[in-house]
Amino acid sequence: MKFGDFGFLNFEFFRRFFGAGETPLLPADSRQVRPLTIVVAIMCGLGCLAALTVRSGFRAADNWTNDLESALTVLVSSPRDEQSLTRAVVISRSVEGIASANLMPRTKAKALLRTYGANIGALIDELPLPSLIEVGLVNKDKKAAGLLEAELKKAGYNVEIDDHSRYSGEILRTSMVLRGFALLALLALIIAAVASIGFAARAALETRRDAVEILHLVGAEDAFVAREVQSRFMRLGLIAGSIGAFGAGLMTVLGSGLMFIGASGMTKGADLLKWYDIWILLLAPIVTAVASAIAARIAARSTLRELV
Amino acid sequence: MNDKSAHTRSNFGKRGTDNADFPKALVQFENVSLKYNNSIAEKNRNLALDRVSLRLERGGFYFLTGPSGAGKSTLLKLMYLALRPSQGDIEMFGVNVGKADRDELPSLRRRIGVVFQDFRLLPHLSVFDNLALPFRVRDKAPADYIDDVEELLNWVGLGKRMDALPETLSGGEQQRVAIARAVVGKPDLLIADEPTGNVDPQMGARLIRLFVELNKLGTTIVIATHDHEMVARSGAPVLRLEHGKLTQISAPHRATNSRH
Repeated sequence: MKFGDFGFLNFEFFRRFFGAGETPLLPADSRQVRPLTIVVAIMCGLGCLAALTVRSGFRAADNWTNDLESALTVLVSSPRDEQSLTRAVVISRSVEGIASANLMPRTKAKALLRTYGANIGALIDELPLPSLIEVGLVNKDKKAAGLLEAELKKAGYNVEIDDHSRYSGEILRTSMVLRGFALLALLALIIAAVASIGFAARAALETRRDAVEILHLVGAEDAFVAREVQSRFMRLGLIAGSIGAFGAGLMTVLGSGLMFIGASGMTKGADLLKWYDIWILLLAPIVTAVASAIAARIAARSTLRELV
Repeated sequence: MNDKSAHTRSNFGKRGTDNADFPKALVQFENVSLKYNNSIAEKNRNLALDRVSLRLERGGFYFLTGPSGAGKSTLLKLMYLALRPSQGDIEMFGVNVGKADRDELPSLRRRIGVVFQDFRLLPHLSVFDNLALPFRVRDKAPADYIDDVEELLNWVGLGKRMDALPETLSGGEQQRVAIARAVVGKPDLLIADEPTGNVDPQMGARLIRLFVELNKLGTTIVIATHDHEMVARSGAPVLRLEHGKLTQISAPHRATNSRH
């Protein structure tokens, strides 16, 4: 077996598929290629941003829901003296499925209250702050909530257990809506890009109708002509996709920088994008090239069927 | 006249043997009419071709004559499968092209070489690439055709201009490239529309000699021309069209059966 020979997927196959080394039989019209490359690059860039948004949305929702679902908050109504609260923490730690239990410091409780009650200034010190125990769960084991409540009540505590399901449900619903919008935007961009390529392929064949007729008359099959068009648009898709992905990458880096500078407590340090999310940007030109090739091939075959 | 003389036979360079590939005539038209959809002329004149019947034998050499607008180009287009008839049957190489599937046409077209009056060279391709076109559409590797293409280019006197673009060539040179492209694939049928119209008499005579040589090798030749002197000199059968009707299918004046 020669180097690069993998059955039909050999070097010759790719050379012919990409039309390398030979003058293209249906050359691109530069008046058409430049604007089309720009349009496809922009669409690909927007597509990458939408995909990155989807990715970060998924990760953010996962982070938030994970944080919420792997923790409980115990509100101790009575007894609330320091010794009783310390004992409650010890009891909590001993319950099966509980990984950690800590009394929430008063400063943190105040901060929470300030978040919900806006700026209420000095009044906050006069309010009866709840006594809260932050509980970490092993493997999001929700059964632990029931066990914990039973143990604390058995020990004489009047408690309420908050498993955060109300918040996590809202976050999940919100994130699902955002993910849906991002996916729809991505889909719309893909459809628009494919339609643009298809339209351009048709236009290209119309403007080169004479050449197409000559190719037919010397015995070219529709598949051959379609392949010529397809390889041309595949190259265009690859170039435009690379430009778009690079632009999207640049915007993401800039956006992340700005987000870091002006981030809220919720987003700062949330690490919504990881370095390995670059696969989206690396894959985008390939997807664009393949989508362009398929769109061009379908449009070309359909146009050629209209000829004799 | 097409009704009473349904076929003609040429002895001009004809081979004496039958080929099992072609049990019937190479080209056979039976009551073929063609109507262009965009014609705005009166009803009878809508027909670019009107019930044309003819039969071209394998290895024949034919001239197609007639005044401008008589339907010569239309007849040739039907022969090189750029059009399908509105009515009637056309058999090429034993295949009814009117009923043939679209996918069958390329293999038939590869057996036909066409020399267009306006050359129809691809302007962005070099002379060499234009000549290589019939091979490239068959997915032949360059190594398979380089020698053939170069030899033919040398033969038509353009060996030193193989990298030139058509726009840099004179009309005569473009004509020679067009002819070379038509014959490079060694077609069974060669159709030429006014092939000597744009070349000087000396080159015209040389091209006709090329056609005769190809004919001797078994290629059926059909040449549309206004050059009555050339037609008379050749003695080959003549198909004459007038107003879309085949009005004359003459027997050869002089058989140039040099091989027999």
